[in-house]
Amino acid sequence: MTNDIQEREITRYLISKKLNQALLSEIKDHFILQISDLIDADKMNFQEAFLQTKLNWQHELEMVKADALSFRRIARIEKDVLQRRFRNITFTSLLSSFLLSGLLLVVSDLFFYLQMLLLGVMTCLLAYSFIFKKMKFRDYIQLSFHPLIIRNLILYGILFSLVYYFFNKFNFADLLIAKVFMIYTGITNIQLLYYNSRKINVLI
Amino acid sequence: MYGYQITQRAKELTQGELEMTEGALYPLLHKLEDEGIIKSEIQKIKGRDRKYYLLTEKGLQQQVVQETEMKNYLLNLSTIFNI
Repeated sequence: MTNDIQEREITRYLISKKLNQALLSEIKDHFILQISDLIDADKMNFQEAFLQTKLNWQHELEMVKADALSFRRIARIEKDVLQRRFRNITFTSLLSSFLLSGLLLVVSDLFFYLQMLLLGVMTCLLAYSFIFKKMKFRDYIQLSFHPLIIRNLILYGILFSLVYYFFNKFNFADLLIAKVFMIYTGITNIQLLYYNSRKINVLI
Repeated sequence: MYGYQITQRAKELTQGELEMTEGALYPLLHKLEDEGIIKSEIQKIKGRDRKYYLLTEKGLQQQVVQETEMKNYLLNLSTIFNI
């Protein structure tokens, strides 16, 4: 069994690993049970059991770069979950933008309305996040440097260069691929804001 | 079952042969939860939150399929090595 002071020490250690609230409470419970077992079964004292548990979790709780395009450091266990979430966001954005690109071929005016819709949804989510204190201004600034946004900007640069190189065309925005890309970026932003408003960690 | 209980149960059932890396378990549980194979509920135990994982309907169906596949695989292996 562990006492309150010991549990606070465990919490402090896990907080230093910058885990999100849900993961922190789950791992804290695991730590307490594992330490209690070591104390009871192996007759260790708290410090020995805590050290042993920290060693068992060393790899998963090691601080690593959150993403190749981010300077933020998070625990490896958090990174695994986060990267899977990023893959889901990218997949959803890709799928929806390709489906919508089919519609753009049929209805040419649709792009304007789609842009308005995406902008409207983004504004609503931002307003909701600020009103209900799900986001601070600092987080909003951080969103501009989000790895997925930076990745999209790099992709946009590559696409623009390719179009200019092959078609010698400056008016990139008129091309269907540019429109699809803009929809893709909009859907990515919306998903990031949505997850953030639900307090799900997406590195904002 | 909750995370720590799963690791202990696996150890107990395999008489210590299968020792799960604790940290590897949670990303896997969260992945299964995202896929709708398991669901979770939080209960307050001794003043702290404990997350219990349960199989969903989809998870139960998946379990039957996986069990059958695994049994067939083991049967095939045993047939091969008995020859």
